[in-house]
Amino acid sequence: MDLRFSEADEHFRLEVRAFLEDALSEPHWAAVLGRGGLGDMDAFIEERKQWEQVLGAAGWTCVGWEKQHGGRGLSLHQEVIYNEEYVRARAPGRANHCGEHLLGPTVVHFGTPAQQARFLPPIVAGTEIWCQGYSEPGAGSDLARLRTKAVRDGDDWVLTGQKVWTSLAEWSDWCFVLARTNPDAPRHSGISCILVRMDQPGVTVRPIRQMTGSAEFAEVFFDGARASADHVVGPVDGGWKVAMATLAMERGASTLGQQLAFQAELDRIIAVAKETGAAQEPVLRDRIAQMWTRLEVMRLNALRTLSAHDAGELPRAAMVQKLYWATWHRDLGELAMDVLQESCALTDPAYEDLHRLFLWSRSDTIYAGTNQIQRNIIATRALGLPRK
Amino acid sequence: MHFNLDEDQQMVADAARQYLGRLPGIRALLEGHAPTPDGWEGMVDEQSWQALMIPLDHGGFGFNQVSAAVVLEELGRALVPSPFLGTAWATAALLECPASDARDSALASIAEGAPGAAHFGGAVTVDGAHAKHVVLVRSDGVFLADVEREETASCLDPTRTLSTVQLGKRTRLGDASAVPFVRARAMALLACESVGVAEATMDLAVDYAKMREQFGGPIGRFQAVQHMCADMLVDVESARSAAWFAAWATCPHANPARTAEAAESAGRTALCTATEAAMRCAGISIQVHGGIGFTWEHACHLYFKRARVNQTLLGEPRRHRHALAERLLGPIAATETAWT
Repeated sequence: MDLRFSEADEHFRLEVRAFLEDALSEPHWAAVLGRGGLGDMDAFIEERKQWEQVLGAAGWTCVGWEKQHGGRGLSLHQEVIYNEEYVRARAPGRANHCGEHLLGPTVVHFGTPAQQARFLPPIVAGTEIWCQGYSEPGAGSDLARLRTKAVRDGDDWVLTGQKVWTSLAEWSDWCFVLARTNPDAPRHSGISCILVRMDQPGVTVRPIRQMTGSAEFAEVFFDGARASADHVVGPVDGGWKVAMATLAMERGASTLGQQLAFQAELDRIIAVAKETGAAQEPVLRDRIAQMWTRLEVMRLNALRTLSAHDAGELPRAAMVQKLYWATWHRDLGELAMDVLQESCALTDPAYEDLHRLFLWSRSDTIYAGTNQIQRNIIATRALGLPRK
Repeated sequence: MHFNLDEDQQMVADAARQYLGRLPGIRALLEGHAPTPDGWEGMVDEQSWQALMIPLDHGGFGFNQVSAAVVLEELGRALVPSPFLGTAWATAALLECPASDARDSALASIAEGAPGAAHFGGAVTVDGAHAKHVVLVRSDGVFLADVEREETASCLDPTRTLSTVQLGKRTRLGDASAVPFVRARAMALLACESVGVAEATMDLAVDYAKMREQFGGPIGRFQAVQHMCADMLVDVESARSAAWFAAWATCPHANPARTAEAAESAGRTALCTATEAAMRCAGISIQVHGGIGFTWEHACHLYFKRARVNQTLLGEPRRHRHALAERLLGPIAATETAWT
């Protein structure tokens, strides 16, 4: 056991820090600093799309991808360091999370050489933004119940159906869609993963206004939308396996390294608690200290997961992460309101960020697998309890 | 960066688990035999755990604190009574003091198998009954103390030996600067034992849920039961991350760059996380077992009692959060708010 980062890792940290400091020092980015994160994803979209291209031109997108695909071939360790420095620099929230962390790795793993040549370079360059078309009104936790269908017509697939909870759909160039290509097959078979261009007549996007008041998600309607037969990732009717692999990516590497963003939120709450006098109340002091220790544990769980990843294992510590951080963050949202106290909890605009945190955190225990689905997964896969 | 057991640490853990599995342990307790340190000589002869952390030139093996941590995890799992926790605390305290004749001879004696104990100023001393070397840890320094009178106290946890001791002549071994490290190391070691307790109760519950049939099948197929078990795994893995980290971070042999503040934070975080995790898991385990979990014959209650006692031995978790809050938020001023 040795938890020190290597000298090479520390050197890499300084390199990332230097780049971000330099790139973000231009006055152009001042307003966008710290914006566009979770709960704020619809802020400064155009600027953030532009920022993707700045990152891309300097070689700082897709840092975990292999060099042959346009990445830097970084270890997971270094990718985490990169993410930590990114948060520390308050760099704008990434507009192409779905492209870099979900679709890209999926195309690397399952795509044809032609698909890789077509779709990976624009993600690396930051010129094509992606969204994810999985959930449907009737298919949430039970994703295999999806009903969006694709019918073959010459060299195209023609799509009909509705997707929901699609982040950034309004601003995306492409969507990777799960659609039923064989209605007669058992429900986990007969699904394909199809890449669909968003800017076409058969695609309609309708933003969903959330309880936060903002609209980061959208409904996407397909009504005769067309996709090339060459743009199916993985085998036709074999999309379930592709989708599961993509979801594993979403729950794995891309959520590591978020502790620094959480730390910044906790630091803000501590500062506010001192302003409002909440820091003088024993009950709140205990809760703040508890949130601090739990965040530290979250960091340590992530480090253990990283170590196991180096050894090619998926440890139990990895399987508890989503449930752990989502629950922590929801508790943080409640603490945010409690430290505001009666005098300024409800009206003072200076604390709107805490209101947003309070409201947004209700989504954390739902998206990317609800807390209940996470517990099902832990019980059956990690502990071996019977499914039926 | 390697946050897992090294090969030698894993070997110590495997050997400990095998050895403890052969001892009567819980079975003897449930049959009404009082815990005794009789097994200690056997542990010394066969396993030499007491020598793991002691440097080679004092007759030990010269491993870092993680090696003792994994033994404590196994002892928590097996619930075999032994004076190892007190001995490990005393050893860690001695190692934090500069070399002296008194310190060195105590270390050499412990390496040969003499049990130790550490008194942190509370009402009771863990493993004080069997200790040949009692280390007194006060805010002003670390001392080796003679025991004038010792009385074994009855304890909620029958697998744990607590004593009230009256200390006599003291020899100063270390000054106040050693104290935060001694306390942090004790917390880390206690946390590791609680990890073993937590995991054992989870394993019992999960095995039982797979085996116990109601309504035509195992109860482990019900989500209500599954979700309780999943929550236990979250607790177990979190406790292990915090405890292993603290065992590593508070040991100068493992982490030469440690500071008193970071060591205290790691120790307090581990203590809060692991002792509360063990408490929750032990409680859930009784619930999953249903009626059988409430009986004297089942081991559930022994783990439940150990879990609760561990939460108190070095101060309740809330006291440690109180201390962490001082650092995060500053002290409490003596003013009242408009709402009180």
